[in-house]
Amino acid sequence: MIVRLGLALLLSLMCASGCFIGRYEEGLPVAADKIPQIVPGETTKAEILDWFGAPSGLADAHLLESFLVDRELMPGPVVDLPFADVLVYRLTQGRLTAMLFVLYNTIDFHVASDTLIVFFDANDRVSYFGYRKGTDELR
Amino acid sequence: MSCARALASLAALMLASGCIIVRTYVGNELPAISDGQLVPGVTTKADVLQDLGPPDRLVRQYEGDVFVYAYIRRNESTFMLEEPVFTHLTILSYTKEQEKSDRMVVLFDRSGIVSGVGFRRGTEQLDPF
Repeated sequence: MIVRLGLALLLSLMCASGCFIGRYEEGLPVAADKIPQIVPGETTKAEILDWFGAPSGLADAHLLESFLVDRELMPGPVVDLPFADVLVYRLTQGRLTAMLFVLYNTIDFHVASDTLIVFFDANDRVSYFGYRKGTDELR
Repeated sequence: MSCARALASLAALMLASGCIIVRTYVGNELPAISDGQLVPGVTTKADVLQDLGPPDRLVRQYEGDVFVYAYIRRNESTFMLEEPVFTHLTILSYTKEQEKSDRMVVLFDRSGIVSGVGFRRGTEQLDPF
């Protein structure tokens, strides 16, 4: 009887497992459908602001980025201060996956961003821009 | 009876010990750079943005901009063995922590032409556990 009880206890311990999945997102999605319309030398800053809204750093809180920067896991925000000739749009996502099996536990935390950066010339027209959709790696 | 004791001891021991593996990945893997893709004096800022995408950090210097690209991975493994009921005494604790990063900086002159490139790939040196 005691042996059975012990076996049952051991089995229940082994089966005492759990899976946790968490997602965190900060910033607004970058309107990727508007990106093909950006033409260096033609598109104006007013159009960029109209299409993509207020840039990051001016309108969004960055709790996750601040947390990671404090722990030297990120090089910092793309720009420290808003420059007149650079606008940055960024959506940052974090995915946490944890599997807890009492004896063996794994925790994966992956952070990635979609980033659009637009440079302007002295006439407030786009001179260069770059876009990366990094959050696809989290799917 | 001795079998039951052994079983109970084993259960207590298993309850008290555990292994935790934490993996933290921040950023996106840097694209592979082929020879001749970033040539100082030739490659433009537009080329870099086209090929590598936006930087993770933009640094402004008097002589021109610096693009910083970073991909950071941290693996942490912990094994603990402790007495769970009376003293909570830690008998053994082993932790291994590794942090490696791929980092690239691209320096530009004032006219937006690449003046220098620095690249270091560190994530390949990361142990799986």
